[in-house]
Amino acid sequence: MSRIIRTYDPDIGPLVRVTVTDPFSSRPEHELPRSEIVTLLLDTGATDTALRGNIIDRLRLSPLGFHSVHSFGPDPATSVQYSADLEIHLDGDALKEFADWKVFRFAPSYDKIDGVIGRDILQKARFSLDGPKCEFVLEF
Amino acid sequence: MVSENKLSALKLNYAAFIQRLPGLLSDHEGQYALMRDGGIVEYFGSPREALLAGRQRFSDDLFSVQEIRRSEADFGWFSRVADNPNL
Repeated sequence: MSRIIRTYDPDIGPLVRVTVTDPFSSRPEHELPRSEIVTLLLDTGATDTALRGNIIDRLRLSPLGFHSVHSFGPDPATSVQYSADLEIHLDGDALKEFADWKVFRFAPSYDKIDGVIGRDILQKARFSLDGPKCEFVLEF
Repeated sequence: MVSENKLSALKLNYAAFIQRLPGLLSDHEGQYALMRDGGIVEYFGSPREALLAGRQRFSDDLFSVQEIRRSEADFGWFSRVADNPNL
């Protein structure tokens, strides 16, 4: 079983590094990047994985369609899903791949993260958090 | 960024999709609907299968892929900033 054991900043929460790739890119390597390493918050309160819009634009991820999203505003909100391949960086240079995945576009106001990993991925893992030690374990 | 034509197609298909969604859940929940001009063309088991089929069939790229699910998405801590009308 591959895993990651890491301490976290209690003011932010558990973060992981993830490589996001456009699975349909045919661009040469010397042009715009077809993959990018981002920092995502593990958030059990999120149903889905979501990325900051400027990353989606840089990678030119392919849009799938709109979907309704929960918001606190008076009007129903929507966001667009995109096709993407994800690789979560684990200890010892191991990677956990989520190919043929989808991510939502959003605009987190907090600049230390690029998005969230939601339960769509966390339900495939064992995730534990030791608050007093500020340590988390993510196992696949 | 998504082109204006593509964005219009996504909006048109989504408006039609949400009207049909309650009737789709019993037989197609968890699948992905390839949509064109507000109509469902075919159902697929993964988003990539649907996307590839859309690209093969519609060279103008004016189609969308709708995930058939009963729940809305929630971005947890960031739910308040989910709406992004500018794409």
